[in-house]
Amino acid sequence: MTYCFHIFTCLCLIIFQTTVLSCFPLFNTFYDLSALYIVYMGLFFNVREGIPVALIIGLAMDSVSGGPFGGYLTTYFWLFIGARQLIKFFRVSNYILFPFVVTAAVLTEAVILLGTLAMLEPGVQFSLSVINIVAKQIVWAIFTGPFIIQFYNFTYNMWNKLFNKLIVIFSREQSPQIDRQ
Amino acid sequence: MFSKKIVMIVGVIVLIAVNLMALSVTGRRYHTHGLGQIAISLITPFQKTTTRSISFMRNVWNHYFCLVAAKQENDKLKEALSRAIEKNNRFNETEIFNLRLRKLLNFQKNMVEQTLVAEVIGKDPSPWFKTIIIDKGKSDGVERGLSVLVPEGIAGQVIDASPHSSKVLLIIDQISAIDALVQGTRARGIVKGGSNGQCFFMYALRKHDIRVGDTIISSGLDTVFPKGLRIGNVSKVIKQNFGIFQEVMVTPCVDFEKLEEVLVVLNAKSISDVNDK
Repeated sequence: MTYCFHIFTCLCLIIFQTTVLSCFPLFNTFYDLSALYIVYMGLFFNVREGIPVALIIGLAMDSVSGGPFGGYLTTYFWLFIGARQLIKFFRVSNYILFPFVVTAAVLTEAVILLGTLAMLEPGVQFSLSVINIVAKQIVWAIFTGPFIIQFYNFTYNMWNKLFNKLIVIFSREQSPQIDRQ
Repeated sequence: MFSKKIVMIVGVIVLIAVNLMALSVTGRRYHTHGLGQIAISLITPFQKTTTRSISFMRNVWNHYFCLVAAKQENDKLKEALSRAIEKNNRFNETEIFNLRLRKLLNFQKNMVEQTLVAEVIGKDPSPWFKTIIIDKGKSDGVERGLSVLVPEGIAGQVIDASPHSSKVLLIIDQISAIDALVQGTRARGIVKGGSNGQCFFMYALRKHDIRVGDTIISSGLDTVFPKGLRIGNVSKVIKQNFGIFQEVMVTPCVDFEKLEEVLVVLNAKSISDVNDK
């Protein structure tokens, strides 16, 4: 069920980014919300849960995006590994760390995606606007990223509570029937 | 024999190498297969529903809440319409004249392509790649390599087609290239996408007189886009004292931020046909 929740959330994020967010010119240079979700998974979940989700969402993003196939798969895989390594040195509850983590995630994603493009399409020229876009993404990430991670965590906890309640209710309904039998 | 640290470092290096090799194999493909097709088939129905809901809400807002501006706009439009009717008469006359001339010169009609109207249901989630997803796919006759137009000019090219949706590479993407001409001087070059919503008219010889405001059109030589379609207008020309080419910047005619419906030219040659040849 946890996998389903994560995959469903990420699919919602992809749809939100490709349809709703793109309607507002203000968010043209907004960072990738799915990447942030992968970072959140790296910080709060184990490898067994995180890697399959990162790979599935990477695949979905590669399908939707016009970039070289495999770019997002690579990005999300390394973002997850990076986040996992980070929690070996820092405590997850250290909220001061979040702005730095999201900035690093945005930078890593830009470097991997642009690096892939440069590696596979040698003729591509990058102008100064690339720095401009990355800078804007970082500003967005610093100010909104920590709250969005908190929101992801809050949503997951709420869902978890709800799911546990449902299990309790379901097991209560089932037990009298078993007793009668 | 080896410490845990060394094993880990070697493991990471091997992982990076494998990753790079996999990327160099899969990354050259801009079309999806197998699992990717399933993913896109799962996502596009939701994208379609969300986009339609947004359009519906936008329509409600535009039609019922913005009536104040509508009156003024109506007056302006009436004025513009009368001018357009007059212009249209002149164009009709020119068209008949043109047809007569074509007949005389035994020209073949080159703009009778069959087109299909498609709705934009999604945009690329990343600012690095400029693609859109349209709601028409293989089941509607859309295939890889078809050109995508809007009344203002060329929008892009289909790079991937799923059963019910397709991915379109916009002309402003960095890997997009169109064989083009300057409408006035017939100077030839290639329009390539830039990184900030602009395009570059590359390989235009220095000897050609290209000026700001000149219109760039497709040459038709790439066999993807029909000849004579507008691409954009020259916004900047840099002629240096050395080199054989000049640097020309082009502002596309199409406003890619407001792209909602597009036309897919169905009977143009596809990339696969060209590659096979």
